[in-house]
Amino acid sequence: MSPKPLIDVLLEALTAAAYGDEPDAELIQQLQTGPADIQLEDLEFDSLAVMEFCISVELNTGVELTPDHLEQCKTMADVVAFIEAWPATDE
Amino acid sequence: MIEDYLNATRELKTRNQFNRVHIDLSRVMTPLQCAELIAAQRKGLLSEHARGWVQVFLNLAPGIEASPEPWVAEPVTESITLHHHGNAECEQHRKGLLIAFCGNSDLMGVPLPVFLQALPARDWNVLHILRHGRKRGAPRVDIAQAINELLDELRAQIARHQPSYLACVGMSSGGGMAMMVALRLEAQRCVSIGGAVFESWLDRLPELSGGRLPLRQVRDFSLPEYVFVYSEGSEIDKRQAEIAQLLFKGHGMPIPGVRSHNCVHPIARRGLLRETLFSLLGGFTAEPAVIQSDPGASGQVHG
Repeated sequence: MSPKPLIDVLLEALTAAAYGDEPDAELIQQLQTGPADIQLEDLEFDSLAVMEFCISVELNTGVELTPDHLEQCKTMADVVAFIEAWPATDE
Repeated sequence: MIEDYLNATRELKTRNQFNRVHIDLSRVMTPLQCAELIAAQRKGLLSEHARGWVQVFLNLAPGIEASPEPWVAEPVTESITLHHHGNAECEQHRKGLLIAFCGNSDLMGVPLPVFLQALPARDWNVLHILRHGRKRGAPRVDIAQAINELLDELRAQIARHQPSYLACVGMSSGGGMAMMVALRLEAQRCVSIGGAVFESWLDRLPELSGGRLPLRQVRDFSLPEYVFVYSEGSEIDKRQAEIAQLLFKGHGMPIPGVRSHNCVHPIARRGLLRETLFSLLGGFTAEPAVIQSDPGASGQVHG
């Protein structure tokens, strides 16, 4: 697991998914207080943004979160759970 | 090209590692290079991870395998690339110059080879602009300064190519740049696709437009024909197109049956990108050049 705090990993991934634009203050606040409230659908990632998000997570953590995995996640809390459970036993 | 790709991917293991390479290549490849990749995939030379990526090109630009447009890339600056016809004789034609501003993703809504395949290389030279002309990772500069620096480079390119037709096209955030640059360069046409005039620009319109905005104040310049393309199902993009129309005149063009911000990808998926771009760019085709080398003889027509 990466020494980088998970919240920083997710912030960086969200920035990558927005092609370098940092997430707005409301989203950062939500990330800190309740990732379960962040519905991935609401982030309106296109397919390229999904790939950038996953690449960023892998670069910072070594966790091989793929677009297929991300599709199974409904909220940011699901993403956190996936990262924390890595390596998954069924991989 | 294939050797470079194989060298770049030989040590890669994960899907994300391959995706990184594929995304970066999608921003710079030409249709000819893409056709090479497809051929290599058919020969089984590429990794399993490349299969889906190659299929994207076949889906969005079916002709790219059999008859790739012969674009050749020539770097101009770190963020500007000139694409021109590989055949010198075609360069003699009275061609159009298309200045293409990518969106934040550094794409025109589709991978670059798909976009270029939809443009006839015999008719156009293309200046493909990443990051709105800024170097990747460079600190943000004042927008007026950025536009002025970009205009200097573009004017040099226009002087070099002497286009018979000048057009700007911009995708998403590149749409605003296209609108303003087209106005400053007095292009014949400007196509904004899901583009917007940034709110922060509204207080600085006279400065950013070189005194041409608001339009009612100035009449002594040639106004480009503006087309504002947007997804019919996107209220935000429709509103932005309406705001742009108020500023630049021109007309809106909704793309039916599309809700997503990126309406270029659905157009390509429907197999309509080439004819749509042709129409959006005013139906321009290059004329063969008339070379008058001997004043006593009649002109010689090339092409």
